[in-house]
Amino acid sequence: MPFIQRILASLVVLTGLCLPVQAAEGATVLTVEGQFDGGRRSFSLAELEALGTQTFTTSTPWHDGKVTFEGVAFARLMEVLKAQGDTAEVTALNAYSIDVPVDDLVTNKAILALKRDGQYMPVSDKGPVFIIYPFDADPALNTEVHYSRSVWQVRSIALR
Amino acid sequence: MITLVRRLAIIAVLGLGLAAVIYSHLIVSHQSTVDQAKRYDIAWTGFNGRLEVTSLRERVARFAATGDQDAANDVKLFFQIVVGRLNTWGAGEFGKFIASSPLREARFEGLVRDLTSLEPLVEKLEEPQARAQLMRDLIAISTAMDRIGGEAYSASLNEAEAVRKSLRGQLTVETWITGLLLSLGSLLVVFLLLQNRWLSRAHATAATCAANHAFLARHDALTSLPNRLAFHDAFALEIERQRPGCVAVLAIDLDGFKAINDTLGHTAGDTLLIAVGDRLSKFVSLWPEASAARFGGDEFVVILRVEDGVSEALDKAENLRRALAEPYRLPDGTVVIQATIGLAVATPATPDPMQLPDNADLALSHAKARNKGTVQLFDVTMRADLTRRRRIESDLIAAIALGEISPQYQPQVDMENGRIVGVEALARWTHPILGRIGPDEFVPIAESSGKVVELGRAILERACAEATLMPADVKVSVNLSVAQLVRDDLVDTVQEILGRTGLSPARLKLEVTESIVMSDTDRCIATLRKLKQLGVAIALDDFGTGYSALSYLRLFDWDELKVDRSFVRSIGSDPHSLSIIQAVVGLASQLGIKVTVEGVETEEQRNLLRHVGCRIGQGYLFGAAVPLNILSARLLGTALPAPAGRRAHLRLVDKSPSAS
Repeated sequence: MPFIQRILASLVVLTGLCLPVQAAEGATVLTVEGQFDGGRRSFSLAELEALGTQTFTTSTPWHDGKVTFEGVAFARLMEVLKAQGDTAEVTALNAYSIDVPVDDLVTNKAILALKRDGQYMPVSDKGPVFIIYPFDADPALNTEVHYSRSVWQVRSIALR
Repeated sequence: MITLVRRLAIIAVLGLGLAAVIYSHLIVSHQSTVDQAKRYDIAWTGFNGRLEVTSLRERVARFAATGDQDAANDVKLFFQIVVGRLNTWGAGEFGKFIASSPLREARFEGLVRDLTSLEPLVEKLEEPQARAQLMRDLIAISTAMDRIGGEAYSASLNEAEAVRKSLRGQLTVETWITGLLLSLGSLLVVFLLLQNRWLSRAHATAATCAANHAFLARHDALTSLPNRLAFHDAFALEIERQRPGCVAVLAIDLDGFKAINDTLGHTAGDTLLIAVGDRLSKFVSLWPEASAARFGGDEFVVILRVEDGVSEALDKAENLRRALAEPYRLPDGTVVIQATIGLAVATPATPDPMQLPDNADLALSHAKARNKGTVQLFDVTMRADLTRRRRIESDLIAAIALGEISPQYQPQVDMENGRIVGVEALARWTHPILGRIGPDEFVPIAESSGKVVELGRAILERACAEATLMPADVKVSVNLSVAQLVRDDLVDTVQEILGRTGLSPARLKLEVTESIVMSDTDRCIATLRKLKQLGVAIALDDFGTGYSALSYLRLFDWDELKVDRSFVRSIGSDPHSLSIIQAVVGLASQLGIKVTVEGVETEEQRNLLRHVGCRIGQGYLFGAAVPLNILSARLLGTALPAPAGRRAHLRLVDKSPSAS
């Protein structure tokens, strides 16, 4: 395993250096659609961060050991947009799409993570936006359902 | 059977407990199986990796076709996505899956290396050669990712199968346990039903017992007649009922039942009681609204309603008394027994009808004391009598101790010369509240309450002590009661008293009546002989009133006969009486027995008695019973008869003829 980690680390470093696909300052990283003023809004990383961020540390099925995430609470996003809607249709860069109940995201304090262990996350590290639940805070979250709702490389969210 | 079922039930309960333990254990292991089942599914991330590398190949192909900058950016994005996928595969749960097989681990390392080596080609997409190289290498990478993804899928399937298998195994065990629980439960239900049946049987038995007890609580066990409790309830009801006529209560007592019990035995006594109860309830059942009860012993009570008041009640009571007096044919023989009945009728004047049973009882006591074998109607004076009687009874012991009851002495005089030759000690009671109480009243009370022995002893002792203060030629007579005579210690008592008082035995004369001797002749005669051996004289009192006076003369060597006053009273009018006295005197003198005549009240009687040879007389003519101090004064002038004034006075206070 340490061996793999070493390889992967080099892979991440390599890709991070050579292919800064969305490194452009002010580029849109997330688009939100739905029943709110304007009906559609795009966010750059800086804009998202400006909404205020939260941090928690948790273990996940996709990481070794505990990881600290920092990002905007989904509830905060809803609050800022004054958005209505029961369901968030979340779509990833790889076209993976899933319907998540807004209530579930809000109640279970899911965040739109922008940083992992203090670093912005590139696409190769599930970035730039990663919906993550505080799994360690509530053992009931550790189910396939919430794993499937933890979408990485999030591109857009449609509130319905 | 019950024990077996109980054991089986205990086993069933233990089995249930065991099954519950196994079940809870199963649930825990179930939990872990389910936890395993909900673990992160690596098949999905494996599948997505395969999809992503395919998408990357598509993007490269599209760029090759279009040469579009957006398509180029897409290729770069998807390359990053695939890199991200491999990052995901290398860590967390998928990382563990990769590491679980060294071969897979090596393959994965190759995959990562290969993908890393593609990066320069992605940067040079515009170059056809690089692009072609990229397409070729991506095929190899796709194949490798397919392989690992496929393995992840099958590993996931295997894990799911293992979980299913474990669940199936647990299900089987659960099925067995459920079956076991059901069977044990059914077994318990069967036990429950059985126990229910036993319980209802026990309940039925208990109910029967309770009914029996209820009957016994309210009925007399011997005669099955209602008992006192049932009678009082019925009586209270009868009083409350507003019906025409009056309620009457009969208190019935058999005369001499104790003697029958003593002579024929308790079994015969019980048989007689059953027969009496039977006859009583049959007779009473002929009367409307009447019922009989047994209070215990030979005490029966009847409650009835009479329309014509007291006269009808008296008639019915008399009829019943006659019916009960008919002979009873028992297995041991025919028994004739009389009944005495006390009657109380609730007339409109009766203040408290609830007192009827008490009143009937009082009337019964009254009749028992005076006229056995009759019906006695209650009279209000009986209640006062009872109160007085109870007072006397309760004060008796203290009166003996305090000397309130003390002997007085009636002179026995030689009718030839008027000299006092002896005195008869007679018990007298001066009660501080009730005043003077005659012996005819308190002696029977003392007898019935068992205090007569103490009374007799106290009088004897006092009389002996006081006799020592009298001239030596004066003898003192003291009466013995039956209760004293049947006691084994009488002789010792007399001896002890004589010793203590210092009275010469020759000066003491003990008087017994014929009826006392009749009660237990052999024993009494034996006692009297012992007394006589002490030197004490024995007199036969009330001679001539009993049944077989002459045979008693033969049985014992009497020192003296006391001719009953009834003969003396009638000598003036009935010449036979005088002849009888003359004959007795003649007979006695033949046998060497002295004669004293009692109840001499007139000079005429004295002269007649002297004429037929009587020497010693006792009676009011010679003086009534007086205390020692007065007697002492008399003895100083012994030849003189009592002064006329005093005599009259004494007769007033001691008017009862049976006093001596």
